[in-house]
Amino acid sequence: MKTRRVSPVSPANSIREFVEVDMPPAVMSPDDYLKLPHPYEDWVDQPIRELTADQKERLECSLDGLSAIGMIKPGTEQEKEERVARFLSGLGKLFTKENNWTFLQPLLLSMENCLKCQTCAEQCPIYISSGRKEIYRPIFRGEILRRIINRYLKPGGKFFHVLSGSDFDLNWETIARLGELAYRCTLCRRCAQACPIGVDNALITREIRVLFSEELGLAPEELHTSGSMKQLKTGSSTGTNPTAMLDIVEFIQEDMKDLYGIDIKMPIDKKGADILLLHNFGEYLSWPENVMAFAIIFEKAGLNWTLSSELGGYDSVNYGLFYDDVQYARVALEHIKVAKDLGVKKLVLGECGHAHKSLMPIADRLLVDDNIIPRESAFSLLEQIVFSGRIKFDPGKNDFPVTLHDPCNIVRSMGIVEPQRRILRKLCPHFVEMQPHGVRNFCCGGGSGFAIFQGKNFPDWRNAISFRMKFKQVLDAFRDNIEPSTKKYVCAPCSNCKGTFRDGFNYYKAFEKCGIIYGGLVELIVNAMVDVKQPFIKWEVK
Amino acid sequence: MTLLYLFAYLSILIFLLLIGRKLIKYSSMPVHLRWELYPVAHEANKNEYGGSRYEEINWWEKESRKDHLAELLVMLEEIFLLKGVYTNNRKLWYFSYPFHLGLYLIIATAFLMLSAAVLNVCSVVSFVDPHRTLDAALFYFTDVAGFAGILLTFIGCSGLVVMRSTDSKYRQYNAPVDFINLAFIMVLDLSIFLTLILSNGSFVLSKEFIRNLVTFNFTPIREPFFAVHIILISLFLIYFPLTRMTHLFAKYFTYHKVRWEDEPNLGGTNLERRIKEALNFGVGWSAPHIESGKSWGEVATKLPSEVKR
Ligand code: SF4
Ligand code: SF4
Repeated sequence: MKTRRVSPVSPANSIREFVEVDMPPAVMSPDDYLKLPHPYEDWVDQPIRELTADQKERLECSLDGLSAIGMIKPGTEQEKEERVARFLSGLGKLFTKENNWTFLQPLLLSMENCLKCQTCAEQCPIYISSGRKEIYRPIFRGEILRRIINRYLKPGGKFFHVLSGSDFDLNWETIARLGELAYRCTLCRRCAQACPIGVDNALITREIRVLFSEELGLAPEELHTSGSMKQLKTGSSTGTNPTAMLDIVEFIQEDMKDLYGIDIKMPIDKKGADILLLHNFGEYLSWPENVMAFAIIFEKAGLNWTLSSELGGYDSVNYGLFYDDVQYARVALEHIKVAKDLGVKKLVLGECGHAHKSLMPIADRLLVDDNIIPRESAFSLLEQIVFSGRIKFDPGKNDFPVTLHDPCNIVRSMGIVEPQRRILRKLCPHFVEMQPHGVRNFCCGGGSGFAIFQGKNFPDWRNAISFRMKFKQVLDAFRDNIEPSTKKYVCAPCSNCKGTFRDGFNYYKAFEKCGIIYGGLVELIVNAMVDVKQPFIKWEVK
Repeated sequence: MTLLYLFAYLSILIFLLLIGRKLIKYSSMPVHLRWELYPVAHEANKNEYGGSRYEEINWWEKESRKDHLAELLVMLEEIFLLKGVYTNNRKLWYFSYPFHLGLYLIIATAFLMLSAAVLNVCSVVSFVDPHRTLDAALFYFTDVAGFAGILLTFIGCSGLVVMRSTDSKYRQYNAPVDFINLAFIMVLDLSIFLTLILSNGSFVLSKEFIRNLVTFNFTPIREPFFAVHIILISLFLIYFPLTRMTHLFAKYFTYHKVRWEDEPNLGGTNLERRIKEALNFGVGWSAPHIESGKSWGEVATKLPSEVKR
């Protein structure tokens, strides 16, 4: 396999090369990466590990030496041709209302109206952090897709292909690279926000994923087989079944008692409760203090709430949002069914960004009749509790610098910006904003499923490239107290974002070098509660 | 010569039909899942920082308040100042802005000519020899707007062509057809300019032609350069709706039907009816986890065959 070093300004891996069978894979050179501020001036990034010889032999990885989808290379020319034909047939379906009413209008508008003005390019954290690799330019995927459409689906495409820049014969290798490329974008939509026309490259990327999944049956294992499929089967993408869920809640309650002296029995499956609280199950397994903190706040505030141990009732994850509308709809309806059966007044989403977006705006156009159950963000509820006077706080207990990460799905895509800030301004005297923040934030780099991609060499890429811009923002926000002796807290109120921070901070040794940890919002609230005597935040590497 | 007039009518008709077809295509799409992007300009009291009603506790019980003025202001800034490009891509704005401003002025000139022709037919203004204030204002304003329009368009267009052909980040993404579009506009510009020079610095020939169109008076066109100019404009009218230069219209939909489209489904509304309609569409995807041939509603409520609980 030929490889070539790609310089930041070189048009290597151009559109022309991309449509050839043998494009030399783009090479990520640490020298090109976005430079980090103090104390990372001399930081040397580890090169992204190569796939094993066997993986290279078996898997499609000619884009940049990574394989997110784990696509097996077709064995014969005939197989390749069949896949090309299926791809083209799926591409046609993407533009029919029957198959894709879910996003047809936005997709068509985005496909037909890009002016190639490149206004979006400088907004993309991945493009910039990688050293402006051409393949990661926000319009690259869309432009490849456009040219395939012009050549193969548009009337007259055969005759006018030179004019539209589509004078190539489509091959399987190009399609495979395009599929992989759809998993080098976190769907953060910063590019869409800057586009003067309103073209949404994130949506185009998502729809490429949809085409691969819904037509070719190709999607990353973490999202499909071990993601939405496992969730439909067991109730959680972690594989935790209802019995195990109940055991885990028991453990968490015991820990809460042992560690903080707080004895709370979390209500479970309580019919007719006002609120069904739905967490990302990652919280139970990786950040149980988040589940505890919610329970402490809700109990102290005297809410009539419940958790659920029913299938579909204890894991708010819905990876379908990232790659497959059918899987998305199935999981969302499971969530709604549980809320309906319990007869709750509203379903409240815990600290999980994609679950917010999935069950609030996206599900909105899927639910009809008695499935229309009110859904609310925990942030709004927490704000009301914190400002209601029902709980006594001592902000002095949060006597350390805090900055806030805005999860793209909650902030840019839903407009929930201020409640979490008002809480932090009240309870954290040393709260500082990142720049930019709010709806113009940068993604953590783990969006659209990247946070859970732990296979092969993907984590190397995520830590070094897609998390990099966020890490720079964190360092910039804390630059006045960057020494490790001053402990600092990044409030990242989203499970997937926290997963990305966990791995990214370990990669950059953020605690050792700068004294920075990450955690959720509720932990800060509980840490400031007068009634909670033990410090709730632990200053250690997670 | 009558043919030239007929061609002009035909091109206007085709222009209207093709634009109409595009508008109908975009506006007759089925409901789509919500995909708004904040800030949403009409979100009252929250649009400054990009907030939404989702910030409110029990948001579904609250009245939705829309700030239409704020929405209008954002639209006007976008249309007349190209604010998005100014903020995020200043280098491009230096050419894109004069280009767009020039085009607006040319469109305004065409409308002024049309108004003058109609007013003239109604004997409100004198056409070729203005002697009253209104006549003169219309007459000279048309000339000034037209002249400024072609100048600005030409400057902007040349800059865009140079940028797009010399900078690799533009060059490789722009297909030949994109250069043809810009070249077509520059040729049109030159033909207007030539018309202006050859008719003593005024748009008198164009004005007369439009008046003839309005009155169905097919007076022969004697100046060959002007005939060529009319042919070019007519061809452009036919070509324009087939290109992505129609982003002018598409932008309405990308903003109002996607970015700012935040209508919640509270049940019992036309929106819910449209969702039910969409849930009845048949699914034809071929992946193993989707049962092709069933409706969306059925597929979504049935677990894939691989899932055994
Ligand atoms: S997506 Fe928008 S900003 Fe990006 S190149 Fe296309 S038109 Fe320009
Ligand atoms: S959605 Fe985000 S990651 Fe993807 S291309 Fe746009 S800016 Fe880059």
